Amino acid sequence: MNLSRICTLVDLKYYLACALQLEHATIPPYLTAMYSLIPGTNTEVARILRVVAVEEMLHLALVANLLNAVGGEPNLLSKDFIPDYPAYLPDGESEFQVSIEAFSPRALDTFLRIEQPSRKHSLVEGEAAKDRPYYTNLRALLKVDPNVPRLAFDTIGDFYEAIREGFKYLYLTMGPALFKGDPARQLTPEYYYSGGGKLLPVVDLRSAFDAIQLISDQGEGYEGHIFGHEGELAHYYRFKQIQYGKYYMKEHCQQGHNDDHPPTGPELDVDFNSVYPIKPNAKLRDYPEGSELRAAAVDFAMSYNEFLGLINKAFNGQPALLMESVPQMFRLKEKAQALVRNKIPGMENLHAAPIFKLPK
Amino acid sequence: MSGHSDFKLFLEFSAAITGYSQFQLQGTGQAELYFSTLIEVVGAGVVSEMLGVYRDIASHEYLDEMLKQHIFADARWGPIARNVIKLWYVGTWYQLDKFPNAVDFKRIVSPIAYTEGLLWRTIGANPSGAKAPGYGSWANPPTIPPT
Repeated sequence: MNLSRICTLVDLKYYLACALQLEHATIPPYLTAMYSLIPGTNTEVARILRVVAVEEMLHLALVANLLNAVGGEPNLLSKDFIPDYPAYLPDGESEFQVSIEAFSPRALDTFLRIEQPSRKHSLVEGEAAKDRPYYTNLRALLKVDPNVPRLAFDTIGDFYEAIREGFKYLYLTMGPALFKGDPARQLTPEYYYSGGGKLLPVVDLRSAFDAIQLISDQGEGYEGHIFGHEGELAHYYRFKQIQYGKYYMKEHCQQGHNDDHPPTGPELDVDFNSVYPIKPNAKLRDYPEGSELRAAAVDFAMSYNEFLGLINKAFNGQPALLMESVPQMFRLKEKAQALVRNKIPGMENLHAAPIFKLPK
Repeated sequence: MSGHSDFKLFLEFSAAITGYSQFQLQGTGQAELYFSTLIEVVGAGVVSEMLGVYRDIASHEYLDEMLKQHIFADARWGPIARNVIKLWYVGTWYQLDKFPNAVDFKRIVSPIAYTEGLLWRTIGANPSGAKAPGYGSWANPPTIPPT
């Protein structure tokens, strides 16, 4: 009996297209929380958020490599690619939604849920996911067999485990023909820096497994261990440090400790009050027509979409364009920071937030 | 005059003398700090008085000319207004010597003030040693935003 949920190459491409949406969906919330910190305060929180966001960008690129390796075409420009926040994660988790909001205990709780290690629950079929339009659209686009269940995973780790199983199953049936993508479309290590892990090209089953393993390890940790096998602290535990206001110490984390083990190291400064109080999930309509704020928000959204367009080209046969995208990321940061430092006219104590998707 | 409306006036005044909009000035995150620095050195009363002079000319058709005459050419307000421009552009308070007190000395008012100086965006460059613009970006021409 085939236990894999992924039975055909089309299924695999569908899962990887969802993975691309998933990795991207976490980036605007992490970045916005980071921008909401008042400069000069919460420096360690800012560092943690930055590392996690940068590594999510690595994951996005790794998923593009996985998809390109099997002859797929990453698409960051479909109309549902950027979620309408608040949004459920595209792997079909149904217990929580993700928001664009300031750094706060509530945001931290969401971040912990995003990076929650697998609980190895049995997978439930996706009733909850039925009313989410991007599934329907993506499935129609990729001509996914209607018998393939909708995604409904409990954690991101479970979702990637299914992808791993899918690669294994398809390799057993197709052999090396599974990796029929043009290797020239692969993004290679020189395009990634300033974060943990490595941008691995995917050309065979071994490198596919390595890429999937890296994504899971950086997010939730390696087999329940707080430190990954490269000595890097997983995202979930980085956020736990903020929650407890303490660092994990490697020497205190013996094998067998799971996520219930609180950090025991030196104190880590967390100041929830030194944050710009930005309006959660702000929409363009929140900014007065004709105001400079509104123009700046439109400018940010347009720049962001232009930026996605550039990396989409990089993901589709022109990897060298990733170099050009880096200065754009820094300019986006400047624009977003200017927004969060401005109050919304007419909403006395609320600051503006970047908007990643313009209304239709 | 209350501190709150003085701050609003300070922003408006700053926009008029720097050539940057209030949105852009607030976008540096330094507005409150520059306002409090100014008050700390020259005193709230003096700041209020100078902003009062500005308020009286603020809606004038030839604001630049009015600023020259009533602020920059004025022996009392000129040096203070120039110092405010310098604060915004280079994040530095320059010693005035007119208000002898312990806080009137040349200094960069905060680590962020240096990186947020309007100078950098005016010339389309990143502040030296900060706000790294990305590997290889030095091969590109400066990006001076349209005015």
